[in-house]
Amino acid sequence: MARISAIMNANPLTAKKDTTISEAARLMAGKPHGCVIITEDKKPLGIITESDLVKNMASKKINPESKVSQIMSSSVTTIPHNSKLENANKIIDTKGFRRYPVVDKEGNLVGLVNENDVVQAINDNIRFHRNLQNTVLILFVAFEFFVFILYRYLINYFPFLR
Amino acid sequence: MIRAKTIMTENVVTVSEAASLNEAAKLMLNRHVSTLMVAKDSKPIAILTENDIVKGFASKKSAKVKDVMSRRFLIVNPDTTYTFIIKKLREEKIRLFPVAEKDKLVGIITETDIVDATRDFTRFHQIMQEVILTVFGLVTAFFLFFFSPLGQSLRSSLA
Repeated sequence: MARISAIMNANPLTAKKDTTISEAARLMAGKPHGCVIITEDKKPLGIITESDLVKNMASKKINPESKVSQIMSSSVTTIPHNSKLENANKIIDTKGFRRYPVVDKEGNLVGLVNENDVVQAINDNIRFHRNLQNTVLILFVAFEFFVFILYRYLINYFPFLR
Repeated sequence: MIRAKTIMTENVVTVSEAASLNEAAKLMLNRHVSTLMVAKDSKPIAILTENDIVKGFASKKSAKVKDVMSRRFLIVNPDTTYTFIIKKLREEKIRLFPVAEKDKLVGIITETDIVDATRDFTRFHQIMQEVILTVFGLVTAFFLFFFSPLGQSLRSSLA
């Protein structure tokens, strides 16, 4: 069974909580991650996404030279690195975010996973299982017919089969 | 077969290439979208994502939309299949698919639309799996009954 650790991005962008907002923007620029995770002793404290920055830029509420802790979302939903895809999908369904830090047993940050990766991986699994199941069914039907034909032939020679 | 026209978002927000990044950010916020289409003479020429705005924000000069807009997208037509789009997403990491019909922009497919479509697709696969198993089970049960001693009367009445 596939686990989250197999599909996560193992190199998330991280920053300390005294980083400035513009530094976080420079970290994110041109990268596909879409978010920076604010950590303290490897534990995720908060997350700051591209849309947080865009929102801040549109409202111009907070000076870009102030600390990221002012606009980050603290209370991050994390996913354990050994959780099954289905369980991760349940978390995603209830929370509705797009990006989740992945943590190990001690709560240390080990990766980043986004909604699309999980959904695509589940779809791949389902398709694989369906193909496998159909193959097994076809083989089973072939076997049934084979036994049926063989039985009619064999009863001529072995009366006890009757 | 799922087509682009069934999964696309029809409401596309456009911005002119001369607009400032601040205006673009405000537009995104007010219209609740994460992607803007940059249009010139009502023809789509580029795309502006949140990442592009962050890029402009990081480079610090008072950037305009045209300095940071990206051309990393693939224009598809309304009849392009879902399978093709997924293939492009995986192999070439293209995340945005504007949908155009005869040079006219009719919608856009973003990652959110693809996630929703994939969820539907997965559910469809699961239901199909259940249906196949049920039909197969019923057919097998009937087959075994028909050729067993209990099915003798049924066989003789048919003959």
